[in-house]
Amino acid sequence: MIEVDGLTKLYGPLVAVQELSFGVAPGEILGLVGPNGAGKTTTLRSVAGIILPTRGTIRIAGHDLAREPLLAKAALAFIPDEPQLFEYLTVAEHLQFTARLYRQPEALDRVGPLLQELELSTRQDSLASELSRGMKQKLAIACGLVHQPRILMLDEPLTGLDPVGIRRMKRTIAARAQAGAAVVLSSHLLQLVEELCTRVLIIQGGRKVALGTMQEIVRDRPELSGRGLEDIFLSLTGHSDSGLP
Amino acid sequence: MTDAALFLIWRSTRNWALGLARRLRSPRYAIAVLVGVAYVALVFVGQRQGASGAIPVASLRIGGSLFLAVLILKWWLFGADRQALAFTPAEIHFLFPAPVPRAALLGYKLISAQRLIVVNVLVWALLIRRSDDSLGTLPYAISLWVFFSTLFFHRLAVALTRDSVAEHRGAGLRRAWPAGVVLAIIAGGAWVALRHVTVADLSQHPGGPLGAFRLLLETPPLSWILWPFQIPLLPLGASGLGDWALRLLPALALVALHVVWIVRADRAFEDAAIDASARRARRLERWKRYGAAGAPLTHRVRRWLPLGATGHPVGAIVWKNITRLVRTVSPALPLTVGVLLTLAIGLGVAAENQSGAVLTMVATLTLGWAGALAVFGPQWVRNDLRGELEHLSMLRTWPLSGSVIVTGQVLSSTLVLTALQLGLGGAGVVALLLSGQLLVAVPEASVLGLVALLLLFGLNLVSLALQNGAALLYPTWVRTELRPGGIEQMGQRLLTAGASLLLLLLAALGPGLIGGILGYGLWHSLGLWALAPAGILAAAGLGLEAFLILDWSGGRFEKTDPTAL
Repeated sequence: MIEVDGLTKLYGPLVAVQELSFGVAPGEILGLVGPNGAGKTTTLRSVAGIILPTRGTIRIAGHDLAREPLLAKAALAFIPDEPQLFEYLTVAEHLQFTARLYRQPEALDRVGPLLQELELSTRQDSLASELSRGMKQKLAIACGLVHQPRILMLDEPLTGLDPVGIRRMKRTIAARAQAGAAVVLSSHLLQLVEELCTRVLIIQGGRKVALGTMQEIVRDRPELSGRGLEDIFLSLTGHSDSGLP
Repeated sequence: MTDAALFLIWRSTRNWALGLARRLRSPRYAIAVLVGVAYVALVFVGQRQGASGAIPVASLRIGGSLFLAVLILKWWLFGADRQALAFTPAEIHFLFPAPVPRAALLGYKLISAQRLIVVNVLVWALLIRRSDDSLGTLPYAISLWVFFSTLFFHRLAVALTRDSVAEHRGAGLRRAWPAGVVLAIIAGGAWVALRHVTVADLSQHPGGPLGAFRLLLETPPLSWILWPFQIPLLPLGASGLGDWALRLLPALALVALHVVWIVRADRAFEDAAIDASARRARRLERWKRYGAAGAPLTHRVRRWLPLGATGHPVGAIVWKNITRLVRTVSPALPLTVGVLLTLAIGLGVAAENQSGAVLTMVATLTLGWAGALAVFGPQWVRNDLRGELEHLSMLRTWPLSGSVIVTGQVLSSTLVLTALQLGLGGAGVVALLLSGQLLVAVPEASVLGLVALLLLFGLNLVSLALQNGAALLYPTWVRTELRPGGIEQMGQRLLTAGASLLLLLLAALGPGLIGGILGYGLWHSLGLWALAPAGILAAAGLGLEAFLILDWSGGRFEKTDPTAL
């Protein structure tokens, strides 16, 4: 569903992402982890078509993002860590507007259940500017889901959510994957990644450090066998001797 | 605390200056600064050469003291702007939990306010002078500093006192008794002065009502009441250096008195300060996001034109942007203009003798404004991509081509601008019609009006397409254009306005020439009606240009890196 080959992004002399290749199959949840400045957001933004890669190809649902950007974008949803909303539109209007942009009038039938699922039903006539940070995040998620994307790109999706919201969000992500969506989830919450993701991509300095299931990653490093993702991550990124317990 | 406060102020100012110097290395920034400085210099030279804008000394004493009295009375009675108590979020985070006495916090507030006061002093000293320029620039600047400091310190003191009264009721009132006595004296004096004044007194005075009012202000008891308000203005009215030094002493004493008043207040102002700071932070955030055009969001309009479930996405983008306009811009201004125009036309028709004059004035004003909007409107109506640059990341995820997105954005502003022109132009034509000065018959006027509207729509479309294209070409430039800023932003605005005007003239040249040639060719056979095909052809030419610009802008949109903003 997502095929990234040799993705490279340069900002002047700065190499944000270098020769990164990975794929995500339908129903799979790929966890994208890395230290600050590793290139996670640049990778997500490149795959979402927000920024243009310097080199490499990205195929979304069989469409080359560079050659058929509209078809590729129609298949995906990108939910950023900081909700990007129009403060002058209401909750319901955001969803109506999104349905119209994606030319899916039938998506309007999904608005009610989606608002129910994300506990926004009582706020559907509220302006985005009146919502709390967590509510805004839920609305951004709702906008990402209303057109039933086949590919879901999530950047720190749990930021600002309360414990109930976190649990619901985790269920939503898992349910979307079970329904056949390919999901890329970037997060610093390694427990979340370990719990939800079928495979993990660890990047550092814009380069791939490891890619695979937890078992595949530790196969080549027997000393990490039986350890959690946090230990594996710290070890692979050279922070295992950071002195932390 | 003093050491820490001075360190903070000094380092912040130094780092700001260094940042400014670093930015000057960028040619774009340097050019903007140069243009801004040149503009200020031109205005300054203009002020030096002409008397316009200079303040007469006599007006300073009477008008200034009256203005101060009214302003200060308003603060006491209706509350001073609590922004005087506002700290930055970082100041609250670091200073409030620190082991620092309240007096020190207030002292810090007084010192840090000096940055703003000094900027104001510089601007006023450069741009606004007295009619007799006997006072040098430095004494004049010092006088201004005394005036602004007194004003700011008093505002802070009022905010503190009122907050204390609101918070502590009885105890607060007991602390505020001196202010209450002063207010009572002012009110009593005003009553004594005004109780015997009749309308006849005012109308029969040789100097007219204004002369009578001035006499009232210059005679006791009002002159006594106004005297304290003259103290901060005294140095500004000095006739020479010696006189200035004498007048400066009481004014400085007043500043010192205010400092003591504030620092010794020792009132729990933290809650009010945090509240004021939060308000200021919200206002700044809105300003950063939407610029000057972005009025505070209101909850007035909830029910609005619903968005249809089907249709082209351009329609959805236009709907979204017009929703933004409806929900963020107060309807008071367009309503007021509409009511005033209707009243003026009604008055013109009702006043039989002068109907021609009034209606001609209405027609001139409205048609003039409709024309002026064609030139300046695209700078003011920014209900398009220029107001959405912060959402560029999100716009890039939409499954729409760049040209569709840019077209939707540009159309949003074009429709609003053309509607404004239609309203004004329509009012102008009605006024001309009622005054009997419409030079063509109604059918011809209707057709030509429609053609003019088409032409204006084309012109607006080209102009706004150029503005939005520029926003994609120089996004950081356009983003910062509307925000409050220094001289460099003034230069930026001037450059942008000049370049926009030049580009618009160039863009209008081709269609104008083609339409003009056609109109000239048909004039002999069609007469006035020749303007219709000429206008339509010119509008079509503008439409073609707009299409090309939008297509180019769409490509540019797809290549713009939102992270570079």
